[in-house]
Amino acid sequence: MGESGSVTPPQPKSPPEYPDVSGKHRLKVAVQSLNHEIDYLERELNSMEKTVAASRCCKELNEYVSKNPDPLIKVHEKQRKKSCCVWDIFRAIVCCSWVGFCCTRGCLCCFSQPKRCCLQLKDIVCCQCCHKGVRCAECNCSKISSCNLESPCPECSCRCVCSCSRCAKSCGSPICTSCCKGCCLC
Amino acid sequence: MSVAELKEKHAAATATVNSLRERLKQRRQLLLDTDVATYTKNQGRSPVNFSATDLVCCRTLQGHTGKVYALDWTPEKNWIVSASQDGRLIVWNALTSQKTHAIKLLCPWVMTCVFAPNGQSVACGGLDSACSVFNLSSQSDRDGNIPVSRILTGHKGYISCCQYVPDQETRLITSSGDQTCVLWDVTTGQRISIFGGEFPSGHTADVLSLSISSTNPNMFVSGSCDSTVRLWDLRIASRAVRTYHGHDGDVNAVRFFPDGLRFGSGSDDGTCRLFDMRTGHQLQVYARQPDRNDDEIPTVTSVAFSISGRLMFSGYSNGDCYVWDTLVAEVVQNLGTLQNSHEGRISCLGLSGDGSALCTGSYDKNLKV
Repeated sequence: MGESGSVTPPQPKSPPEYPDVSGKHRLKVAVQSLNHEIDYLERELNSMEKTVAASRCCKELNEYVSKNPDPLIKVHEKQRKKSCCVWDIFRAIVCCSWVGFCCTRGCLCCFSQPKRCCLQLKDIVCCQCCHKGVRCAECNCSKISSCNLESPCPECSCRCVCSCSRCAKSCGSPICTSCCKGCCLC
Repeated sequence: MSVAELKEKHAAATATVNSLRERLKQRRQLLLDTDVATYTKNQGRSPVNFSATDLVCCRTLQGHTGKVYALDWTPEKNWIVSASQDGRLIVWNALTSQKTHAIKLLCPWVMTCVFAPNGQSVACGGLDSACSVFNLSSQSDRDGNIPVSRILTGHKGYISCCQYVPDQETRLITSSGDQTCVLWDVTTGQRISIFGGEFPSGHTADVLSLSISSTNPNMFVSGSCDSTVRLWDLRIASRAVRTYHGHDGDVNAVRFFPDGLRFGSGSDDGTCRLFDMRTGHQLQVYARQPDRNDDEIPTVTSVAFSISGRLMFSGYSNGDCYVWDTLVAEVVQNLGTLQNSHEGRISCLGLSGDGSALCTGSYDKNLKV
C-alpha cells in the first residue's frame, strides 16, 4: 500500500448565506436619517447667507438691557424710592436690623402698605415678636397686642425666641426694649 | 438595492454630512466677530456694583423633609410652588412664609413643578413618566390631600421639566428622558404634538429642561444630555428649527432672556452660555475661575435672568449661586458665600413675576428668597 501525497483535512462547510434583512433595514434607515441631516444642514447653510454678524446681536442686547430698569440693581436713590416694592421694604428692614442678630423675617405690618411706619421704630423687631404696646401708626396691626409666644397670631407661623440672656434674666420678658434690641431667632 | 450599495450610500452620506458641518462651522466662525463682553467693554461699560447688602436673604422657607428639586413663582402674586424628594408639592406665600397648600403626590419621585398662568393650578412630573395637574381650589379629601385633576400620560421616560404656554391655561409642554418634548391639551389630556423622537433633527439623548419665549410663545428651546440646545416651533413638530452646539456636557438648564430672542443655558461642563435664537450665534461663555478647592468642576444646575437681563443667576452643584453681569461676563456676587446661604447644592432658582425677588431651592431641603 503506497501513500500518494498528503491528505487534505476535511473542512467544515460554510453556513448558507441567509439574507440579512434586519441589517439591510437598519442601513436603509441610517441612510434615510443621514439624508434628512443633509437637507437640514443645507438649509442652515443657505440661511447663513442672510445671517447678521454677532456684533449686531451684542448691540441689540446692550440696547435692550439699557432700556429696562431692574429692581435688583441699585440705582440713584431718588429713582429707587419711586419704584419701591414690598421686597425693597424687607431688604431695608433686614439691613437696618443688622446688629449682630438679624431678624430675617421682616415686618409684616407693612405688607399691604409699603410705608415707612415700621422703619421708624427704633428697635426694629418682627411684628411676630409681639412688641407689646407698640403699634404701627400707619397700619392697624391689632393682632400684635394680643399676640404672645404661647399662642402666636393666627397670621404668624414663627415662634420667635430671644436669645439675649439679659432679657431673660432681667425682665423675664422675651422681648424687652430696654436691654434688648429685639433680637430674635426664628 | 443590495447591502453593499447601501453601505456605499451610507459612507457617501456620512462624508457629505461631515463636509457640510465643517462648512457651517467655518461660515459661523466668520460671523462671530465679537462676543458680548468684548463689545460691552468697548462701549465703556463697567460691571454692576454690588455691595454686601444689595442682595440679602430675607426669607427661608422651611417645611420640606427632602431635597428640593424644583420651584416656580406665580406670574402675579408672590406665591411659590416647590417640589421635593419628600414626595410633596408645597405652595408658599413668599412674603409671609406660610404654606398655603401641601400636596402629597401619588409618586414621590418628582422632578419638576410649575404654576399655571392664572395661578390656580400646579403641574408636576417625575419618574412616573406622567404629568399631574392639581387645581388649588379643589376641596381636600379626608386626609387633607388635594385630588389630582388630570394626569397626562404618554411619555416613555421620566418627566424632567414642564412649562405652561404663556397665557394659556390649557396648553402645557413637557420634556422627557425619552428624548422628546410633548405639547399637551390639559383639558382633554391628549398629546397635540411630539417634538423629536422618531422625527429627524430631534434630540439624541434625554431632554432635561425647556423654556418658552415670552415674546413669541410659539417658540421654545430644550436642553439635552446630547450637549445641544434645540429650538422648536409649536406649529411645526416634524423638525427642530435650529440646533445650538457649544456645550461639552449635558445641558441641564435653559432659560429665555427677557427679550425672548436670546436664551441662556447651563451645563455639566460648568459653563453657562448665551445664544442668539434667530442667528444661532453663541454670544458669550460664562466660565467660572477654577477653584483650588474644587475636586471636579461644579456643574450648572439652574439658570435665570433678572427682569432687565443685566443679571444672570446660575446655581451650581457645590452650593454656589453666582450672579453674573450678563453684559460684562463677570461674577458680581456669589450668594453661596453670604451669611445664611444654602448648605447644599442649588437645584433650582427663579425670579418673581415683577423681578424684585429671587428664590433658590436646594438639597438642604430649604428654599430661600
